[in-house]
Amino acid sequence: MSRELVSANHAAAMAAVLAARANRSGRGFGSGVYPITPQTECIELLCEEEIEKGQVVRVESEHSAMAVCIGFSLGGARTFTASSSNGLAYMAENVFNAAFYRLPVVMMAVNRTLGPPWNIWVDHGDTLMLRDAGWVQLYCEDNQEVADTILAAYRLGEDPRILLPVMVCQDAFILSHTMMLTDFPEQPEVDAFLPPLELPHRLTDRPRVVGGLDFPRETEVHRIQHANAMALVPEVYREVQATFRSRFGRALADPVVPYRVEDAEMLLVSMGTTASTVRTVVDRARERGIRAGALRLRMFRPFPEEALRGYLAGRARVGVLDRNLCPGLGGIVWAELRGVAPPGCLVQGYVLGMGGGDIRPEHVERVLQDLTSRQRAGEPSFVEVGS
Amino acid sequence: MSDNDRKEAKGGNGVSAPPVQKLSRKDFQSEVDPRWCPGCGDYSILAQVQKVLPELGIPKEKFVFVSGIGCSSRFPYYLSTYGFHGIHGRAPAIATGLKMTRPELSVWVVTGDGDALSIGGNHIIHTLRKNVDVKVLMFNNRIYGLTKGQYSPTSELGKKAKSTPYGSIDAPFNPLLLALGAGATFVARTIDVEPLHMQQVIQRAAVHKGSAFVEVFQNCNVFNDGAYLSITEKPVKDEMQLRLEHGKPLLFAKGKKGIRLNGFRAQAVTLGNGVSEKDILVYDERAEASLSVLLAEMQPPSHPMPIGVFRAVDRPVHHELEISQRQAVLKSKGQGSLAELLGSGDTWVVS
Ligand code: SF4
Repeated sequence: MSRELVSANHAAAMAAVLAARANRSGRGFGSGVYPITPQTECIELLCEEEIEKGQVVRVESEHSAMAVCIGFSLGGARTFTASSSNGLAYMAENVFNAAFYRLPVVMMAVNRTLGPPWNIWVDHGDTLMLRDAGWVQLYCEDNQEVADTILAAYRLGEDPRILLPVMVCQDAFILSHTMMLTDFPEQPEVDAFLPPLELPHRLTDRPRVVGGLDFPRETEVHRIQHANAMALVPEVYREVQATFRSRFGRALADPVVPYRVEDAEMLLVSMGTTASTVRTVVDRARERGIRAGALRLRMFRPFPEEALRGYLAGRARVGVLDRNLCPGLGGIVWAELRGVAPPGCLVQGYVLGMGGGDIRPEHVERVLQDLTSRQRAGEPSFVEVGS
Repeated sequence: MSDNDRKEAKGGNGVSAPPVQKLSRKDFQSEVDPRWCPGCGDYSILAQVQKVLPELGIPKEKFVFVSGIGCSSRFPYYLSTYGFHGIHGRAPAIATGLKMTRPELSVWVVTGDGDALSIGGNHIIHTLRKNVDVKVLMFNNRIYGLTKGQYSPTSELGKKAKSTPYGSIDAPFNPLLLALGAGATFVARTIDVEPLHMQQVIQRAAVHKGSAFVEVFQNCNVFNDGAYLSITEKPVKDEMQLRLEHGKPLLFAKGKKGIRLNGFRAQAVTLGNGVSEKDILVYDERAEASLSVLLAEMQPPSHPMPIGVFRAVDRPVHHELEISQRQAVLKSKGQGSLAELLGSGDTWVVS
C-alpha cells in the first residue's frame, strides 16, 4: 500500500490507472477524454500515465468521450472517463447508450452546477439528471472514498450478473481540488481484486450487429433484464465489500451510511460532503439532548430501498437535504425518499447549497429546528445559504 | 415570425440602418472590466471590434454577439451590445435561430479554435454551408486556454500540452480550409498584433452579406506563448507575412519576393534572375475557391503566412432564401387551409 497526498481528481485517476493496468493480461484499457472544469486534472493525469495495453484518445467533446469508451468496451477493453455538469448534459445520449449496451464503463463525475448562467461550483443536479440513464450511481464523501469506489465500481459493473456502467460522483472543489492523504493498494493487490474483464457480448469471431432495431417485445425484454441487473446490485455490492475488505484490509462504505441512528427519533438525510457538516450538527444536537441521527445516501442508483426502509422504520421525522432542485418538484433525493418512508413518518424536504453555496453548520441547524418544530410535512423549503 | 415582421427586414446585408447618432468606441465598452490574463491577445481583438462597430452606422442595440465556451467566449460581457454567453460549441446554431427570426439584427459569433472546431465543429460547417448571415470571429490560440492548457484541434503535430505530455499525434485542422470546404462565402485571417489589419478585415466581414468566417491568430501568453512569433516578430514579419489584396500581385518581403503558380502549386520565389512581377500571381478574392484553397494551404517555413481576405463571393443568404421560398409557395398555392390539408393526399374513408 502507498499513502499519497492527492486531490480527489488525482485519486480518481490513480485508481483508474490501477484498474487499467490490472487488465493488461486481458484486453487492455481505453479511454476517451475531454477536459471540463472541475475534473480536468483527472484526465490530465490519465494522459500522463504509461499504461501497458492502454490507450487514451483526446476527443473533441464529451459526447465523443463516452462514444470512444463504448467502442473500447465493445472491443473488450476496460474503460474510464470523467466529466461534469454541462459536459454530462452533452454526453447524455451516449450515457444512455453505454447502459443500454450493458457496458461496464466507469465514469468519475464531478458534481457541478448546470449552466447557464455559468457556475463551476458543486450542485448534484448534473448527475441526478442522469438518474434514469440506467447507470449505477455512487456518491462519495472524501478522497479515499473516491479512490476506493472507482476500484469497487469495476468489480461491481464487470460482474457477469450486473454488466452495467458505474458513475462515481464527488463534489466540485470541496473534494475535486482538495488534497487528502489517501491510501492506494499495490498493483498486485488490484490485479487480484480485478480479474481481466470478460465482456460476454464483446466483438469476437461471430459477426453481429449491436444496437439494432427493437420491436416493443424486445425492448420490453431488454428493459426487464436491465431492471433485474439493477435489482441485483445491492447483493453483489455486499460481495464486493467483502472482497474489498479481504484484499485491501479496509472497509468499503455501505450504500447507506448511518450515523448515531440507534435511538434517533429524527434523521437528516444527505449526499456527498454535506454529510460531514450534518454529522457535526447531529453531535451538537445530541449534546442538547435531541435524539437526532443521520443517513448518508451513497448509492442513489439503484435506489437502496431495502436499506432505507430499515433505517427509516420507527422514525418520527426525516429531513432530507438536497443540493439540487427539480423545479416543479423539489429536491430529487427527498422526492424519492418519500416513497420508502413508513406511514406516519414526517418527511420534509430542504433545498440548500445550490450553485455551490457553502453549507455551514448553522444552515443545518436551521433545518433541524424546522424539522423539530413542524406539525406536518409541507412544500420543500429553501434554506438560503448565500455565497 | 410573422410575414409582417419579415417585411420590416431590410435589404443590404440584412441590417436596417436608420440614421443614428454617431457612436464612438466608448459607446461599445461595457461596464464590465475585461478579465483575461494580462497580455492576452483577446484584449486587442476586443479593442479592434470596439473601433469598427461605431463605423458601421448601426445602432448598438441592433448588434448581438453570441459566444460559446472558452476564453474567447467572455467577449460579449465586455461589449455594450446584446450578448449571449451560449453553450459550448453551439453559438453558430443559436445565432442562426436569432438571425432567422430577427433578420434586421447584425449577428456575430465569437468563438475559439476549441469551441468552433472541437465540440462545435458540426454547427460551424452547417452555418457556413447555409450561408447564414452571421459574422464568425474565431480566435485561434492553438490551445484550450480556459481549461488551462490542453492541446486543441489547431495545435501542431508533436505539441506538448497537459493532455499530450508526449506530444500530439493528431494532425491539426486548417480552419480556413475547413471554412472553404464548407462553402463559406467570406473567409479571412488576421492577427491580434496587427490592429489596423484586423480592423480592415473585421470591417469587411461586417458588411459582407452572408456567412463571414474570420480566423484571428491570437496569442495565449499563459498556455501557448509565442505560437505566432515566427510570423509576427518585427525582423521576420515582412518575410513571413503575405498580405492578400484583391487585384494585386502576391508580393511579400517588401516586394522582393512573390508567389507564382507552378503547375498546381503555389511557389514562393525571389524576384530577379529572370523572375519578374508579371510572373507573380495576381490575387482575386472572387475567383474559384481553388485559388483560395491554394493560398490557405500555404504555411511557413516553405511559404509566408497569408493574411487578409481569402474569399469574398456572393451567394443567396439563408433567411432570404427561406422568405422567398415561402412567398413563392404562397403565390402558387395561396393561403393554406388546415381542413383542406387534412383532407388531401393519401386519405381514405373508414367504413
Ligand atoms: S488562458 Fe490564454 S487565451 Fe485565456 S485569457 Fe489567459 S492568455 Fe488569454
